[in-house]
Amino acid sequence: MKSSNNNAHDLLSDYFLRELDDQELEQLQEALKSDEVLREEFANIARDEWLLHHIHSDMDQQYVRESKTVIIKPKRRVFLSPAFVAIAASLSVAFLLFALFVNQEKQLTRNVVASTTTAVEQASIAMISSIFTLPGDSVVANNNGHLRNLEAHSELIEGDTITLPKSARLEFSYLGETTTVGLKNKSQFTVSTVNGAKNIYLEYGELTADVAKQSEGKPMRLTTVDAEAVVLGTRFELQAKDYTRLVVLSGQVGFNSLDAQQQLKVNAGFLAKSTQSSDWKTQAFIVQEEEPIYNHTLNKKKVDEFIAIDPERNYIGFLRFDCKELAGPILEARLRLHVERYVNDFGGRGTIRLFRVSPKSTIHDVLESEMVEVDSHHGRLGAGMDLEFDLSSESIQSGINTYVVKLDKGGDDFWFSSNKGNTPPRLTIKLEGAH
Amino acid sequence: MNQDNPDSEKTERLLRQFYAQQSKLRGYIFSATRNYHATEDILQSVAIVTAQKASSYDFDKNPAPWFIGIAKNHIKKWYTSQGRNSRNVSLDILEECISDYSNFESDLIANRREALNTCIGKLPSKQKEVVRLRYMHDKSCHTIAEELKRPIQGIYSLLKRLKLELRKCVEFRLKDMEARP
Repeated sequence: MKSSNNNAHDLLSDYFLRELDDQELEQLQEALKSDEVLREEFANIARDEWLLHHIHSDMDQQYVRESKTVIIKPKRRVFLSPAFVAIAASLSVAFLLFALFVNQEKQLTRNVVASTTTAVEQASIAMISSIFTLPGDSVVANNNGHLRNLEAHSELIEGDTITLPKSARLEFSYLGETTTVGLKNKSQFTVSTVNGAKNIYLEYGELTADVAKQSEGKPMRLTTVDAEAVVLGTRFELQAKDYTRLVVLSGQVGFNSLDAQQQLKVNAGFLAKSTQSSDWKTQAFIVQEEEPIYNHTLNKKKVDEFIAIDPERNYIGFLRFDCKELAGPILEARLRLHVERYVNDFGGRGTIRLFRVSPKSTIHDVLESEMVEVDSHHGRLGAGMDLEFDLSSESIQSGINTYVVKLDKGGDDFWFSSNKGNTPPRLTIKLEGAH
Repeated sequence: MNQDNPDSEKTERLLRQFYAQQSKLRGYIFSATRNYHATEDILQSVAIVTAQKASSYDFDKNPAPWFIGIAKNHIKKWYTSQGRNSRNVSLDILEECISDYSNFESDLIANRREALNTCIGKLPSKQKEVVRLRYMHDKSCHTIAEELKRPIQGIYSLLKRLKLELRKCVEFRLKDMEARP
C-alpha cells in the first residue's frame, strides 16, 4: 500500500474495527476524497473484512448459489379421487407414473443469475386466486434468495416468502381443499408445510383465513414473532404488529405464545392478544355493522347510486350513520367504501381522507364546521375494490356519527357505491362484550 | 418467470442488471454498515424492490445509480433500526469508491476465499481464537478484550497485524495458484 498518509491508512483498518470519533472520521473522509490509492486500499480492506465474516458465516451456501442459475420446479401435487385411483390401479402403474412425470415437467419459474444450471425441486402448496397491486408494483416471492413475480394463478411453493407492496392485496387457496387465506397492504409472510401440516409465518401485516377442516393431528399453524394460532377448521383474522391479535369468527383456534407459557383456546366471537404480561386472556366481542342512514355528494346534483369524490369539481362525500347505543368499548372500527365503475371511469387515484365532523352537521353547513382527520389512503383503486378506513375509538360514539370524505388536489375522481347502490358503505365496529 | 408476460421479461432483464452490479453493491453496503448479515439482508431487499418495480422501470436509464439509491435508503433504515447515529463514511464518498468494489466480484473472491481459509488454518491457536470470536460470534473488540482479559488496544493491534499477515499469506497463495499449471 503506497499512501501518502500513514495515519489515514491506520484509520482505514480502524474503521472496520471500532467506532471512529468525529475528528477521525472527518480525517478519513477527506483522505478518501482526495486519494485514489487510499480508496482502492479501503475497498481491499472492506473485501478482506467481508470475506472473514463470510468464511465464518452459515451463509456460505447461499453465496455459492448466487453464482448459478437455479430453476425451481414446483412439484405439483396430484389429487386423485378414490374412483380414479381404483381405475388407475386397474389399468397400469406405468400410466400413473407417466402422468406424474408429465405434471412435474411443468416449469413455473426460473431465476436469472448466471451461467450454470442446477435444478431444485420444490413442492407447490397453494395457488393465488386473486391479486391486486397499484400500477408499476408487483408482488414478488423470494424462495431462498430466488425471486419470481406472482400473478393470478401463480403457484406458491414450499418456503416462499411473499412481500406485498403498499395497497396490494392477495388471496390464495391451498391445493386440493377449500382453505383460503387473504393478505393485504405491506404484509410479509412465508408458506411451508411440516409433515403435511400447513404453516404460515406472518412477519408483519394482516391476514384473514377461512380454513377447511384439517386432518386430525395436522392442524394448520399460523406463527408470528411472539405467538401462534393453531387451527383445525375455522374462520378468523390475525394481525401481526407490535403485538399479535387473533379474532375468531367461527370455530375454535388455539392461540399460544412461542415459548408455550401461554396456551389459550379462542372460540368464535372471542379474540386474544399477545402481551408482555404472563396472563393472556380471551375477550368476547360483538360485531355491529351499520349502513349510512344518509349519504350525499356535496356540490353535485343528486345521483342516488353513487358518492362521488373529485377535487376538480369540489365533489365531497357526506355520510351519516346511526350507531345507536354502543354495547361496549370499541376494539376496532372500519369504514368500507366500494369503488364503482361510472361511465368510462374505472377507478380513482390520489390521497383520499376521511374526516369526522360534528354529528349535527348538515350538507349545507358541514364545510364550515370543524373537521378532524380520521384516516387517509394514498394510491389507486380500481372498480370492484374496497377502500377501508381505520377509525380510532375516539372517532365513533353512540348515536349519530357524521363523516366527510375528500380527495387531495391532483387526485383522480372516485365513484363509490352509495346506500342505494349495489354495495353500500359499511361501518363495522368490533365491541368488547358478552354475547 | 413466465416468459410470455412482458412484466416478467422486464423483471428478468432488470434482475440480470442487478446481479451484474451485485458485487459492487455488496462492497458499498458493507463499507457503510460494517455488518455482514445486514449487508446480505440489504442486498436481498434491493433485489426485491428491483423485481417489484421492474414493470414500470425506464430501461433507457442506467440502473446502477437506481440500485445505489435503493441501497442507500435501506442502509439509512438499517441505521435507524439500530437506534444509533450513522458513524460511517458518508454514503456519497463511498459511492466514489464504487468502481473499486469490483474486487468483490465472485470470480475474484472464490480463489481468495480458498486461500484465506488455508491461511486461517495456519494461524497460532490464540490468534485463531480471536478470529473466531470476532468473525464467527460477531463480538466487538471491547467484548473480546473483556473475555480474554486483555487491554482493548492490544486486541485492536492484534487484529490489525493479523489481518495484514493474512493478506500477505493470501497474496502469496494466489500467486502460487496462478503459477501452477
